[in-house]
Amino acid sequence: MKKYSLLCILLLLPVCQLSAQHAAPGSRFTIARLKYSGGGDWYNDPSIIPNMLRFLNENTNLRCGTDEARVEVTDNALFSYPVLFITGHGRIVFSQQEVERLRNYLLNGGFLYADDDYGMDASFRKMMKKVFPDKKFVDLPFSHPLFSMLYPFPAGVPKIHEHDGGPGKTQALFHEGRLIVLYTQNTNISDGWADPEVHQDPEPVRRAALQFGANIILFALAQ
Amino acid sequence: MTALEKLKKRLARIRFRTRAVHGAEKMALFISAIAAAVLVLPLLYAAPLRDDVVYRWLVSLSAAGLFCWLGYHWFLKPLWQCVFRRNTPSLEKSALQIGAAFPQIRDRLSNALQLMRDMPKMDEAASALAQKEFERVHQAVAGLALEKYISTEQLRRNTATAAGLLIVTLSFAFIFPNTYREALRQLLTPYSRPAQAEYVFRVSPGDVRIVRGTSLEISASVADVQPRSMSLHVLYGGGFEETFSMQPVAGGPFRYTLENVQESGRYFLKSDDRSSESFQLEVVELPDIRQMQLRVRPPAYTKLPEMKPEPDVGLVSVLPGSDVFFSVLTNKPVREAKLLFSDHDPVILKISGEALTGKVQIRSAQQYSVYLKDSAGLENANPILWQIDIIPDQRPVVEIVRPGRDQDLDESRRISLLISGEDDFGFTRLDLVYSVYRSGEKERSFRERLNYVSREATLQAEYLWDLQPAGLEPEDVVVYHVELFDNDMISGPKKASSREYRLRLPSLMEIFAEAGEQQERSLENLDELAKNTEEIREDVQEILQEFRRNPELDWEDKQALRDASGKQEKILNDMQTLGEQLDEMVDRMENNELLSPEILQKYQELQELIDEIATPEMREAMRKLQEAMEKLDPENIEKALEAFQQEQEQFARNLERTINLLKQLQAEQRLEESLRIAEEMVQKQEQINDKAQSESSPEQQSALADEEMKQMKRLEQLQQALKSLQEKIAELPQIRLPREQVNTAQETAESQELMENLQEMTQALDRADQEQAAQTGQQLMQQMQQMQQNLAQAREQMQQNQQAELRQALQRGARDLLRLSRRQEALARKTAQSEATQFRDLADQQQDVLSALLRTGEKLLKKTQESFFMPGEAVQKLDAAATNMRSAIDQLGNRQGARSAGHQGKAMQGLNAAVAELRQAMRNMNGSGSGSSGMQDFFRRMMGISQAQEGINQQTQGLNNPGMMSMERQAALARLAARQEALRRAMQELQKQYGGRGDVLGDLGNIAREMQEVAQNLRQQKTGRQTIERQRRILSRLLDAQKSVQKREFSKKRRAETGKQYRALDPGRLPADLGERRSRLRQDLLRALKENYTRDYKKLIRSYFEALSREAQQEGTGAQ
Repeated sequence: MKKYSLLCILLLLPVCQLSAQHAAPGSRFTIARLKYSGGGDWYNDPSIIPNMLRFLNENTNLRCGTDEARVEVTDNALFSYPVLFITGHGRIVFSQQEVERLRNYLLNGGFLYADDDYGMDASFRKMMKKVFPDKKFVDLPFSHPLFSMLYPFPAGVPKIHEHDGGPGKTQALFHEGRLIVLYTQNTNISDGWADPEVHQDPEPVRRAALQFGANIILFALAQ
Repeated sequence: MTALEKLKKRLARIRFRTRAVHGAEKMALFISAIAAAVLVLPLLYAAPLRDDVVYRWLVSLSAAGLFCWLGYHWFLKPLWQCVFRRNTPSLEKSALQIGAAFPQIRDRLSNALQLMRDMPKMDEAASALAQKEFERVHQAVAGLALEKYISTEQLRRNTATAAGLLIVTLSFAFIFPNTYREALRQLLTPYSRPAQAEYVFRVSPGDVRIVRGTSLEISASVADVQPRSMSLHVLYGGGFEETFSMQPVAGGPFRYTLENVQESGRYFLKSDDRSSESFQLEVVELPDIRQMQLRVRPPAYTKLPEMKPEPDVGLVSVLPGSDVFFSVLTNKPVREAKLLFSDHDPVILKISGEALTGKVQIRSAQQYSVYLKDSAGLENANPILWQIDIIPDQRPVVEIVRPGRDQDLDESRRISLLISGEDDFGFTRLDLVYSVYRSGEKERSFRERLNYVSREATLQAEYLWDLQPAGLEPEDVVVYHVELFDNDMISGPKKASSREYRLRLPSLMEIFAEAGEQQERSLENLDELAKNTEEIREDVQEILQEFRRNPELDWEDKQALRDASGKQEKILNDMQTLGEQLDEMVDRMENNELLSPEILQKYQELQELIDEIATPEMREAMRKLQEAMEKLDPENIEKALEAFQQEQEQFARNLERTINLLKQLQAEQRLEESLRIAEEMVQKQEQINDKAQSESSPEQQSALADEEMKQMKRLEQLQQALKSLQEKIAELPQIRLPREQVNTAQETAESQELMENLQEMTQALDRADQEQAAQTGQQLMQQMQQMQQNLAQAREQMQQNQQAELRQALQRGARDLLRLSRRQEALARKTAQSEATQFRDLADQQQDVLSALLRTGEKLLKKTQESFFMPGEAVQKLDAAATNMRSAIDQLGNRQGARSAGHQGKAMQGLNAAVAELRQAMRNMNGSGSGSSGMQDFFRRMMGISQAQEGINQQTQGLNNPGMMSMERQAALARLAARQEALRRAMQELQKQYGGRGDVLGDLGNIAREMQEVAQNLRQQKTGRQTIERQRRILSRLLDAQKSVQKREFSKKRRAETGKQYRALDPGRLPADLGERRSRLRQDLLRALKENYTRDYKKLIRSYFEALSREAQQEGTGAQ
């Protein structure tokens, strides 16, 4: 598996760099945080994306920017970002226009990573149902490349925060075989990307979160 | 000189001339004779005489003798006499001859000369007489033209004869050169054999030059002879000879055609062992194209690569504006080369040896050929006429894919467009063209250039169109389309226009009316569903009773059950549709900001209720019933029937609850609608009143009268909304709506006075009676404000009622927690004093307290979960208390009394702290004033701050106008800085009061800090990009904070507690359909049904796919 992962990385790095080059409007790849209405705190934990980008810069060949981008579904720049990230604790509401546009984005090569910060699960699923009435979330098996892209996670998604107790979930929506929406729930991976003093998580836990995040980004860019 | 000498000299001159003329006459005779001899010479050699050698000698010798004789007498002798015998005859004789020509002289001149000759011998007298005589003669001849004696008549005749004969002879010789040549040869060489005079070949064309590859016809005949046969012999270089038999043409010459002559040589003819002379056959080559290669370079804008047709193919199709490059190789060097076009000036090709190059830009279809001319002036023959066809650059096409229909705008006045275009080579411009129509009249038109430039053949442009700047008013219509221009730089960009669509900004009243209708429809549908559900429930009840009596299901019972199950399925689907319709309606209202947060929240509850109504249990019960019927197991059937019945009852209850909630919501929304309309009326009336005083022209007043007419429409709408509200209140006696204020508002709205005032105001404005308008406008304002106040009070009262319930819940919670705190205190004390043997009992008691705490906490959370006042800290404290209680139980189990007591003490403290938080929350609630809820208070204040911040932002941007005087700007910035500072203080105040809810609101402190920095920048007159960005950020955070309070998820679990390690189960593998099965199944089904199968077979296919779909759904229940 390790050999396979290394091979994957070697093969995928050029692709990653290519994707990064096309991540307008900045010259370098960045993760775009999705702003949404409905009341949920789309903006929470401002340190998480810069930390994740720094981790990618330091540990992969991917050359990323240092700041997160912020984008609304209706922004004209939406299609400039290959990877969107959505999180929050509250309600997410997409208007019909937003639903259509997000669907258009995802069906045309976009990737959305959603991380439940506790409290957005119901409304996120509801919105995704609106976006893709015919698709359903499927649990990703541990053999999926996401769990071995760069760092191996043979036991599935790492558990970062307790929330409901029990193991975390990694689910996905697919379109024509391509993974278009990745959803981690009951673990809060992105909280693990925050500055150490924010949640005071132990270093190994933070590191696991960042490593899993690196897997997600590399997978999203390479698939 | 003496007279005699002069006379002698004159006579000598005449004598010489006379002799010269005579000599010339003879020479002319000589020439005539020679010419005549030559002329007749061939006759002398006519067959058969010429074959005789003696004859030939005789002729030759005779000719020589004659020539000599004639030459002597007619040529040499006169010449000799003329040159060497100048003094003969004597002068006396000449004088006698001359005198004979003149009768008056006769011999006198001769005699005079003789006398003069003899005079020396005479005596003097005789001499004198002689002299006298001589003088007389001399005088007589002096006046005579003695030269007339010389006659040239004969000379002229002879010369003419000689010339004529000479011409004739030369002509014959020219015509029959061989004959004369042969005759001369025979004459000069009589010993040689005479030529075959009878085989004189007449050959055509003789020496000839032809073009390589062409044909040459040679014809030949023999003079005076008709040979039996004739052959053509062609000699090529290297001694190679070809012989061809010539065929005679009836009675004419022999002919032969040499086909495709390729090589130069000589040819001659043979006939009867005689050969003709040989002739030159020169083969020349015309200039021609050996190879031609075209290269097409399409116009730069197409970005197409160069195209190279097959070599030697001059037929091409090109885009207009393409450059066509010609490379031609010729068979020989040429002097001139050019391309000749049907509709274009000739293009001269550049010559380099045998290589020719040239370029031409093609804009229209052309026929062309290549013209060549070599140094010998030969041109290429029959050049090929090639064709260059034009491939037209297609017009682009464009359409608006989204929305792709006429639609209404919402309050944001933004609409997302998806524009799809196609062209063969790309686009240079995309314009959005729109016009605003107000009351059916076009107000203004706009053209907005969208920055989409593409060299791709297709265009998918997303554009978020913000119509705010268009200044739309309700009921305005925007007619729009897009125009797409391609990048044809040769013929000019071509334009395509999309279909026109319309956008309409609906009025508040329309949206409310539509939403009301939707709600009514939803209610009707729900009532219908409830009725159907009841019917199904009765049917199932009946079947169940029958089944218990007789556990055998007959066909009719089974059918009835199937029908019931089917109907139930349909009801579930209808519920889902209903939920979606409500969802859309709420979205629309929300987008137009027509829903208060409370109503929005209730809608969410309603939607969740609808979502939950179709429980998985119900579907499971239906499935089990189906299975049981198929297996015909009575026990299972009864169980399944009972389960189905239970689920149905639950469903019916939920449905009823939904209906009640919807009705209640309808009532609340009617109240909200009434209030909004009343507010709008007040606002509009205020504007009308102000304008009525400031705008005095009749036109302006008339326009205001129209506005006032619209107020009447609003009033009608308000009356309907209030009427509907009253009906709802009557339907729902339990509703907490205050009727008194609603009644008062309704009475005012329906009062005659209000209507009369409106009419009077309209008329006053029509008359431009400003005084009357001011008075009536004031009255109207008061009436409308009264209505608005009544309705606002009604809403506030309703909220207070709701708040009261909340307060009660908090009070009950605090009381219960206090009781638990006392129990916990007692338990802690007891634990500290007890023996180990009592620990088990104490642990049980602690468990009781913990259970009671969890129950109370659950109840409290449930009751207060929608409340903005439920402090997160209280929940945290309760959570901490529960944790300590669990630890205390654990320690009691470990017989650690002291440690347990410690945890118990902490649990008690947690409970007390939670009570304190709840009491603080109640105090906040009481302190929020004017009876409004805390959420409303927070909203109001946040909204105020946001609006003020928006105003500051706009003014700051306005101050960047370079035309503004520095003093004026400085003062304005100081004022803005002061306002920003005031806002900061207000924000801090708000933070103090609600700062504990930072988890919900975000960090309000950050906003205050940003405000402080902006205020400082403004004071320092820094209004650059950074300040403006910061202001935008503040506003964004303020708006976010407002929205965040709508968040309902409120749980202790939100705390970021580091996760423990759990062993997760690997899902194994991804499902084969990757969660897309339903859509794939649907596509497969549609595809299958399109095939030409029989109806029965199609039915089977449909059943098969339905079964697969059900299976997929069941598999997916867990995953979603």
